[in-house]
Amino acid sequence: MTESIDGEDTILAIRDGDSVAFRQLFNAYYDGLCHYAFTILREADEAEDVVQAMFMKLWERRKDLEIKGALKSYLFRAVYNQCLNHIEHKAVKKRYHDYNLANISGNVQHPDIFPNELDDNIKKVVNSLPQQCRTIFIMSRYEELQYAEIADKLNISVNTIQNQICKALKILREELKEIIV
Amino acid sequence: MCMNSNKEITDELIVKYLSGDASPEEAMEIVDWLREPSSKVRFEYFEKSWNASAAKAKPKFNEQKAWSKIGSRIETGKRPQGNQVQLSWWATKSFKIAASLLLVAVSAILVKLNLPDNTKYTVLTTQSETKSVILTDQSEITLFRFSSIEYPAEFSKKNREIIFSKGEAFFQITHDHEKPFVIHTPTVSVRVIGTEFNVAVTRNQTEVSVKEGKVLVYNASDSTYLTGGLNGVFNQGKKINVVDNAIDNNVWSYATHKLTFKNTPLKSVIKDLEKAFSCTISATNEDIGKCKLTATFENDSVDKIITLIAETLSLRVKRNGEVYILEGEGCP
Repeated sequence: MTESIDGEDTILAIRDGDSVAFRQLFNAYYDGLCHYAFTILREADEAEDVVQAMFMKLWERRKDLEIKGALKSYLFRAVYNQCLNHIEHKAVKKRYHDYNLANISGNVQHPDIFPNELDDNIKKVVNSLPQQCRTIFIMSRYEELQYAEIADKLNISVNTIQNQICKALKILREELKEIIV
Repeated sequence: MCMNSNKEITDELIVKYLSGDASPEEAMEIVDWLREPSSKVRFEYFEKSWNASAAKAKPKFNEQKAWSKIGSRIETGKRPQGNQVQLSWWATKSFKIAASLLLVAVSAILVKLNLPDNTKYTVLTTQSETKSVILTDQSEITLFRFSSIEYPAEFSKKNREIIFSKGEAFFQITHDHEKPFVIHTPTVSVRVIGTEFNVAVTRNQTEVSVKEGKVLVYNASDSTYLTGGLNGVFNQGKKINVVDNAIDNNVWSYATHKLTFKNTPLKSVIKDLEKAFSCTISATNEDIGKCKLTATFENDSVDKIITLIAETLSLRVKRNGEVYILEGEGCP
């Protein structure tokens, strides 16, 4: 059953108003979609709201459902678009609008950039990351910038960003074995 | 630098996903890959530092709660009407599922009974396999091995009543304030509005364990409410006995396919696994049963779970049909 849950059968069944097929689809993808939305929005509640709204819309418009290809792709694409709308709406990034980029690359410590409740040891390790690695990590993690935006600002490739964030997480993990359980 | 230790899912892709930069296609790959239990370790390696670096907890999503929100709105939505649409229902997925559950299931015995109120009841009996049935109100009952329930093909306008004569079942009941759901066992009746709970029935005892929500348990002389996390034991002719926090969440894992162990001796782990899956697990050495395990499994096969446990505790597994044998030194 799980193999065909995102197949054409399910699309047809939902179009016919089959609420059991709809529930199965919901059960199969709710968690995964919420997690994906969470990575973009970074708030679990908002992620759930977006995914629930998407499923409601899907049900309400089931009669005009025209889906080419797998239903799964449709769901992930829909959640992605909704998340981007949500971000634009909220202008999440505005919080960091005034943050002076030049400061990050310097050696001065910036307590403001970290969440208040963050453990001091973690702040210390982040601050001691190699310079480029730290700059990129801070922009991604705390300024919540997209890779493309970071690439643009620092004039580096997306590949470099991926590598550096990967490196940062590995250093954090190794340095903070006792704290990150 | 980060190494690519998996063919498709690279460390960079995991990190990209965590950063909120994955495309829908990449996210799909990750989410599919995460269904494999072996993926979790590598994913969590990055996820944990990512979450910790901004003092965030791992997000938890409540699918059941979300469904009860959405499901109630779907109930009020338009249902298929007229003969043509009705006919097409025979070709829909839910019919196929219902058909496969009721007809293909070799062990299900179907008998039609005439009860006093003239409602026709269907009897569903399980033998060596757990079965699920979705009722007309979309409530789901997972019937454990060697159990038996009777339910009407269509509920009456006033209520939703079923008879549970023996065995064990996990109930996921949809909300309907107008029509409470009532389960009659030989010793007591259980009345609910919409919730999830487990019921184990023998001739003179009924045990009710509530996962979520509130249920009312009653008989001619006594009644009590049980809420989430509570466990009640009801013996014929005796007072109701409610036990707080006595619920072992693995009680209903045969239905939810979710198993949680926290510093649990392997002896108990084996018991839970044998209940959740139709299999036998034995250990060649008594010390193996003394090893402690902390782990969560979700939607994993018994094969995978046993292999993982063996790896964790440095044991070897031998399989002979549905029998698994654990070998090794064990723990002091």
